[in-house]
Amino acid sequence: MSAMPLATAGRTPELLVPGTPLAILEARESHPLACRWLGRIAFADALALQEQLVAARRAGHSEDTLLLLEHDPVYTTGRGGHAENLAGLGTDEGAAVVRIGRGGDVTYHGPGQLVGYALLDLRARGGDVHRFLRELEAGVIETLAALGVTARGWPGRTGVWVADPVVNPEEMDELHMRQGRVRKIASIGIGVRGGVSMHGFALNLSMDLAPFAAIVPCGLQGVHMTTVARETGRPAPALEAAAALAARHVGGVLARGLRVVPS
Amino acid sequence: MADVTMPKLSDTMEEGKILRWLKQAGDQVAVGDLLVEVETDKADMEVEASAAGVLREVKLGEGESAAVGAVIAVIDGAGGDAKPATKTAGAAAKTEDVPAKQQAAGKESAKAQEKRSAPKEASGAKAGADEGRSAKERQVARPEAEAEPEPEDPAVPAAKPRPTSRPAAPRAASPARGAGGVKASPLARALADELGVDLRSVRGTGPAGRITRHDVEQAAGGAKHGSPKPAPASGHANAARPDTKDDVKDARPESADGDAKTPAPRDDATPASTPTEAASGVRRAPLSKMRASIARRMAESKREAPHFYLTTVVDMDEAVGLRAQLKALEVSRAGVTYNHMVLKAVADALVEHPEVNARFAGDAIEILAEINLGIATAVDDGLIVPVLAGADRLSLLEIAEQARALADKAEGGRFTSADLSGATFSVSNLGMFDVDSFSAVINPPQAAILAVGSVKQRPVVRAGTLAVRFTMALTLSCDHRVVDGARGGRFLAEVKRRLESPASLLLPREAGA
Repeated sequence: MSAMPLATAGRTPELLVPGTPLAILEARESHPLACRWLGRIAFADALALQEQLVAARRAGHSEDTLLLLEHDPVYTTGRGGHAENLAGLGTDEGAAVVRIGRGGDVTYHGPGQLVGYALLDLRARGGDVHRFLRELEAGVIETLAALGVTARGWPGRTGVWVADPVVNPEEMDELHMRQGRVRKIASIGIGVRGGVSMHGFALNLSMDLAPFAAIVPCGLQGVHMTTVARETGRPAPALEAAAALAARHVGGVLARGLRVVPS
Repeated sequence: MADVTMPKLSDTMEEGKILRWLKQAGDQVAVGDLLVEVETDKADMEVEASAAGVLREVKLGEGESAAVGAVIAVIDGAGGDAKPATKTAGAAAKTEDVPAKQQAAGKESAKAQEKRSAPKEASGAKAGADEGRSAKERQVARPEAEAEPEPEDPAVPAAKPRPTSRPAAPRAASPARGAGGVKASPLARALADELGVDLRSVRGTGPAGRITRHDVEQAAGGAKHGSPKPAPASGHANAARPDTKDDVKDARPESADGDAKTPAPRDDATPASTPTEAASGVRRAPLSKMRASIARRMAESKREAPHFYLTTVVDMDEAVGLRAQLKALEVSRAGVTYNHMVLKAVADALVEHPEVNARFAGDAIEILAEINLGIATAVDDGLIVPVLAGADRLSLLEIAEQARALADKAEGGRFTSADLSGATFSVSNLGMFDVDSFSAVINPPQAAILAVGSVKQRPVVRAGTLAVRFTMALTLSCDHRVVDGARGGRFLAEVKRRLESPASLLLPREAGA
């Protein structure tokens, strides 16, 4: 769990990105994707790093990067988020609320959750933001499969979901969600700044879900959150091990792109 | 003058929401300046100006959405006589290898932006502003970006937006185009558009001559079956779902009149629709959409919801008398039936016992404010459950009229989504088939359903002697996760009490017994 700055293997060794390199994946059109494990890091520090990397990426001073990390407890909300979805938060929750430039409503990050920030030059990838969201979903779904959890996307409800076997995936509906028969295991939200993406996904590995109860996660009234540990009934692997899987799978999808984009 | 339109940021993007304007009306805008943040799906995108000038007008406020291609702002090119700042920005934008210059340009815009953004909003946007001008490539090869402003260009990264399938402006304009002063429902207009029917030539049969969807279909003649979106006939089960996500899908359970036997055009296409004679002598009748939906939802109900049943026998003598009086008075063209009385009694009883007007939601029981009664209605290939919305606010006569209208629609298969969605409690009546009593399967996610048997003279014991009275059996099926026996029993007793004192059905609710 080294926070030691290490040089990336990119073309510009003068830019130092902290963390442990997990993988460097050769992407289509030869844009390498560097995946790094940062360990536990405060939200503000990670945000500053993201901003720095986005700026560098835009200026051509760094390559596409996938940062994998874990946050101290924090609530974040997208700019389009609704205040009422935070209404359950007392003043003494102990976790900060940060309004940030990503899509989506309020969510919670904390220990036991694997966060992935994808800092990619979307312009080099055709610039289709929905496609990028689908790629993130697909990568997280692959990662979950490697962790023994069958998960899926839900058209119109970006994120990654786990459904009870009785639920027909074609017919997941609001009621299933409220009844907890379809549960959210990973949240997704991105920002695009001058063609470069930031933010990404948050996958619940093994964490206390109580902080979600104080908010309306993603603005979805009645949504049930879940974790890998809950779904498998076993302790989840260590965060760093899960990060290595995410580097391989999310990184892999981002590097090769989705062959078929689900409509 | 250049229109700034809602950019198409993805092939699958249909509309976008304005998160915040990074420039305000009156501001100078240069090509490549960050103009606005747009949200689509879970992505928050900065959008740059592709025309220079003065931001003359912002047409869409923060938090508002518009279809791709809709005009969201206007940039007045006349005011934009290429200020030095513009040039700098343009140059910086083009040459990524001049970071110093870029920084300088960036700072300006970041400062300008800071003034407006709430101090709290420490975010990536600021960093974005710093370098925003370099983000040029996405602007589909615009080598002339730093040259003269091009007022004609919309500020859209992608190609000039063609009218999409859901352009905001044309739709808004369509009432006017729909021919001077013609009154028609939005559904009818949309359908007329699709079928190429001139609304001026259609006679409206709706209230005050309003043209309904049905009228348009009639006018289109053979187009009946060509109902443009073949209806997945999952009407029945989904009908009862309060969540209306797939309303549109559910809205036309069986397309238009006469379709009932072969539900949707799509089904017609499958050979499956006709029962096939197998060699073994087994006739296979593949499921229509409606049948599949019934099968799925009913099985789900029996699997998930622990049912129990309460039966009571209602003395209907007074109600029979009331019905005869109302008939003689001709107060209602529609005619008041026993089922209408049951609906009224149920609505009033639900007001008294809101815990029955509820649903199971995993970790909570949700008590519903609205009382919407689903009326199970047989159609040729199954059943659908049209909804009497806000039943507690309706008088007996209003219930009679609206229920009659729903039944007529069911016969014609002419439902709008509102007619089929949001039921909170259902009533199923098989009295007309001379069924004495039966137990119904709950329509998820509702908590209960009332099964109504026939009204006829039966022997009863009254005051210790045998008598002949009109009676009717009511059987309440309850989801035990929501309603316990005692609660169900109290509710059922309330329904019975009201039917046995039918004057209560005529009282305004406040005065109701």
